Amino acid sequence: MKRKPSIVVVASSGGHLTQAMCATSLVKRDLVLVSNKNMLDGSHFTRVYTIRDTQYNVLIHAVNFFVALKILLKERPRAMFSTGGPICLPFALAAKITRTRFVFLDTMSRVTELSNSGKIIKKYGLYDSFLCQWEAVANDSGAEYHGQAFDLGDHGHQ
Amino acid sequence: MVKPLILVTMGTNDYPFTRLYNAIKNDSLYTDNRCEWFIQTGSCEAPVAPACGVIEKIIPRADMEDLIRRSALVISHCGIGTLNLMLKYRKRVIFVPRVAAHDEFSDDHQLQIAREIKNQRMKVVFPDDQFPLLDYEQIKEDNKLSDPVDITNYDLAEIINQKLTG
Repeated sequence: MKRKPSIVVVASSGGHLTQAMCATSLVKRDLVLVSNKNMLDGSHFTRVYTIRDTQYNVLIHAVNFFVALKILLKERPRAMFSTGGPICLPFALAAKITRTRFVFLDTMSRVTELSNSGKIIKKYGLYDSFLCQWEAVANDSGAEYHGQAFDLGDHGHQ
Repeated sequence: MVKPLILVTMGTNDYPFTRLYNAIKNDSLYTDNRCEWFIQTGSCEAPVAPACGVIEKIIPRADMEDLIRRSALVISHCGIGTLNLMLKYRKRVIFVPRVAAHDEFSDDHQLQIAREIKNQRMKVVFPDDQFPLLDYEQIKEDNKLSDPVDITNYDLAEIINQKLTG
């Protein structure tokens, strides 16, 4: 039986990945992760690609751009999703070139303004849907707001 | 009885966090055999081991969850991933936000999220605050396993699902 096209998820390890896992928890397709570290041993993702991490190194971003093209052409995903960090930038560009639908959710950790990656993706229109997790930031930036990836409330704490 | 576990987690980024390491190392419980420590340092150098416990640079996510479940107290940087796990396992936490002024991150976003924490069992130590003395009796009282609660926002997850697959 032919498999449904996968969803490629690009998220740095740590908080970005945590948010991505919450946000994609209802997706009933193969989820393919691209991250800077592979610390997972669960079943959330079908495959994991590990790439080099950088914030500002243009050379690594350039290399990652070609890696991104290769992954997107190989996977032919239904769509791509990211919660950042900066490793998502070359993938956002590659998604634009390969006409892969890209949904970006700006990280919850930026409470007062968009993340740097979010600003670049927004500025250059490298997205099909752009959401952020704080209502005031959404109002200022023109992003969509549908709440946060997980609830910050007091869950039964004494 | 199992010794209470104090878990310290500094995250997975490439910045050191010497300020937090020094704060825990200077507490009397660091050299006290009544507590077990697990210290996840990331890129931070931690040359002095606790009297009882281990230091690891990085560990798989599943191992971290198990440690959190068993811990009596967590001392942590203020990353979103850790905050998620602390809420999920309802732990007593001391958060120490990384700040750019001490070269602990490229910006002060951990301070932003720290200001959003409104939880009685979560204490935030801001840069100008003194790190609190650790209270063995409180830690002993909190020495119990905890089961996770699901804190995922499924309304947002459904919207993301529609956008990706619809």
